[in-house]
Amino acid sequence: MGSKRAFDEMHGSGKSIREPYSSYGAWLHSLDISELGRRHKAADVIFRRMGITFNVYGDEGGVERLIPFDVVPRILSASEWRTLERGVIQRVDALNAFLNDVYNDQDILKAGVVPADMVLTNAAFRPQMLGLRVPQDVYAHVSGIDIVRVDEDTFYVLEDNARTPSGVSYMLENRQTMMRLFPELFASNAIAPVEHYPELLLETLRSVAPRGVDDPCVVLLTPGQYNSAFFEHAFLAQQMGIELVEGQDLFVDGGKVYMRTTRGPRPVHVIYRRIDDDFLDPLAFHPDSMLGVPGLLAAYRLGNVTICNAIGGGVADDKAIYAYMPDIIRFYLGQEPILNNVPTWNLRRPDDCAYVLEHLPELVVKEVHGSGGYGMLVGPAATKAEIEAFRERIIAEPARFIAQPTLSLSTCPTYVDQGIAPRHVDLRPFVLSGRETRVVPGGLTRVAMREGSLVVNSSQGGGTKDTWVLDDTPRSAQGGRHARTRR
Amino acid sequence: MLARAADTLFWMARYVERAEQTARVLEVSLRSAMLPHSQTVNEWEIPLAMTGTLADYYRCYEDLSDGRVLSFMILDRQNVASIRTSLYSARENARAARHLLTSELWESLNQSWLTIADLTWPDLTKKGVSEHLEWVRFRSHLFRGALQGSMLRSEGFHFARLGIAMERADNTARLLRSRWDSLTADQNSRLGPDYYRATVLLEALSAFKAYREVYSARLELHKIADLLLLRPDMPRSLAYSVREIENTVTDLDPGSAVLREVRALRHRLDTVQVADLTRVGLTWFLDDMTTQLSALSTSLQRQFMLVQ
Repeated sequence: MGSKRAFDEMHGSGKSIREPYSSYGAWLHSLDISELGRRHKAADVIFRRMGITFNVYGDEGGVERLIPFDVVPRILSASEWRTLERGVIQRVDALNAFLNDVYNDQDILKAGVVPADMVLTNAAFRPQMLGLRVPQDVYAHVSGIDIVRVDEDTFYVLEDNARTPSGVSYMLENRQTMMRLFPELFASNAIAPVEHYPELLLETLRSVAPRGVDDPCVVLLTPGQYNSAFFEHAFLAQQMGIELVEGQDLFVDGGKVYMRTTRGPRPVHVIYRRIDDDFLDPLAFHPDSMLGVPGLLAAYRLGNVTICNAIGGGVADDKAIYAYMPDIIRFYLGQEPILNNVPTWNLRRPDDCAYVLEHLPELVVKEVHGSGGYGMLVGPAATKAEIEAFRERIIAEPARFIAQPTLSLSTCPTYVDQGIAPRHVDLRPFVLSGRETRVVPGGLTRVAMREGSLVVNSSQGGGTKDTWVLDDTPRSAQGGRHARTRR
Repeated sequence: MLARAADTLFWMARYVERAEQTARVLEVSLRSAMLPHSQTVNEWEIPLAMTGTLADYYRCYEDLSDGRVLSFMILDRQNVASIRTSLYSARENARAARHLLTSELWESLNQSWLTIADLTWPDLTKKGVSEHLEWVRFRSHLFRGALQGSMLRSEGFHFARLGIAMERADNTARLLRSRWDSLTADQNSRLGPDYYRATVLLEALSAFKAYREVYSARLELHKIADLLLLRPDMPRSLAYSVREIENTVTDLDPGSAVLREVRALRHRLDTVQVADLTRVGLTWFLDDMTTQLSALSTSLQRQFMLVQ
């Protein structure tokens, strides 16, 4: 649980309103809370009617859930964003250099910067990728970098997601919904747009097409409509105007990939896949996978198709590798990290493990390969029995875990039953890497809807907010000034 | 477009049309059951027999009652032919292909499903069964309106259109087949065809006014058959639906091999006279039509949707 007074995005550590919230804060102050409640309900109706849901598991209707959407935005100033932007781009560039290295020359392992066994025996390491040069040397085409804030100046990277990060559709739908609900705010605040994300994504995917393909056919590969993120898959395919395919729609012939259309087979060049490595090709990985495409890996290795994100990228976003990210950045880029890691104890080290076992009630312990907020211990929020049960698991297999101090994540005003109250948030900007590395200004702000909770994952009842990056270019000065004079 | 996506849109539309048709069939039963004449066949067996769910029904219930049949055919989750199941299947197909649908089209279907998803029989009867059946019909009108009014005329649109036409042709043939005996039961009586039953049937198919407009005469069985089967200008008729299939396939691919099959069927409906039909036996003809339509649907799916 956070300390009593976490840093608040709107109020900082005191009572006055921080600069990025000055215009919004004045507007909010002048608004009747019941009006906010009315628009909150309207948002719920919009999301339900549009079916913006995620599936908990596939069956009839009732298991599609709405992710709670909060009507109070999370606001970042232009200068805060510039730091974050540079930081995440630096990080993703280093991630890509690392992946290119471990699957080719392995300089970083030879130099002893990252322990070789940690990479080579990692469950996410794919020997099938060794010696394969991928277009633009890019492996993580879409990354989600989870960032938390603890005070005015300190942001930490909590986690890198370099496999198939999800949530970007919520970033886009949240913005759409906010613009419908609060058009006046978009007139009076200069908010940087995020709507061009699908365009940038398509450009990115096209830029990594196999050599010699001028007009590549890009498709999005989904596990199907019962996957928890299916809404997002369909949404992105629609926004990019590309086919949404399942494994059964693709086949490999003569080392090339085709999709089955109403007019016969059509070649496919770039696959934006939202399926895990293990399920991509039953001939190479999981033999009983029904989701994949037999022969896909062979076509990939021939360079006839590009898979995005590349196979084997999980070795870079592993929570154990995470601890080495600052060194990885220094090694490849010769730069100091712009964004810091959360101090991390690696339980495979006996000293770290001993310390962690002694301090469990204060720490957060995570499984190295876990995700989605499952299988983690939040010490301060756990009961004695839970802590003891977790202790057993750690002692049995220490290398499966890492531990971090319980961060006092920043809070953001959030509409709840009792009115507006602070709730803890994080931020996931989405970084695109192709011919260049880019990020749209904003990201997905996740919010822990329960008072005091630090777990923001949607699978654990977390919600989302629209994320505003204020634009400080003078273009919209009029609107901004108008709002300020009313204050 | 993807062959699988074409199949998904085809079935999405078929299921909406099926829900509408089931609502119409139940409306006929609901009103016929109130008529004073006693029947040789039990009125409430007709909708079950027509949808092939008679055996399923008797697995759940011992006797036939209007309330049970209605709740079985409207809301039953286990019944593959219930309106609820049809709307569920339509919406699940739409969800799988939602990226190909306009938001209006998707939202119209999603809303229909959400409305019926948790509806209970007591809630439904409070509102009124007839009112609910009308609601189903109107949701289907809305679906078609959104389809016509908002979708790009690309392949996806045509496959949905094809689904509607295919389902309607099949359903009209089945409906008339299931009703023909009860209409002809009193044929030799002094009063001619059962006037009330014929009226109910025509009204449920939105065809009563059309009948008056076209024939401006008292109800006659062969004219009813002519209107519902052979008139190319009657939007729920077999002839109209088959023409719509032909037009859609032509829009999809004018060189398609299936087109010959469709044209043969259309030609038959163009040239046959209603007198011929009643002579050979209308039920025989309708059974044959149902078989041919099913074969055509299979050919279309093989040609475009790679269904084996």
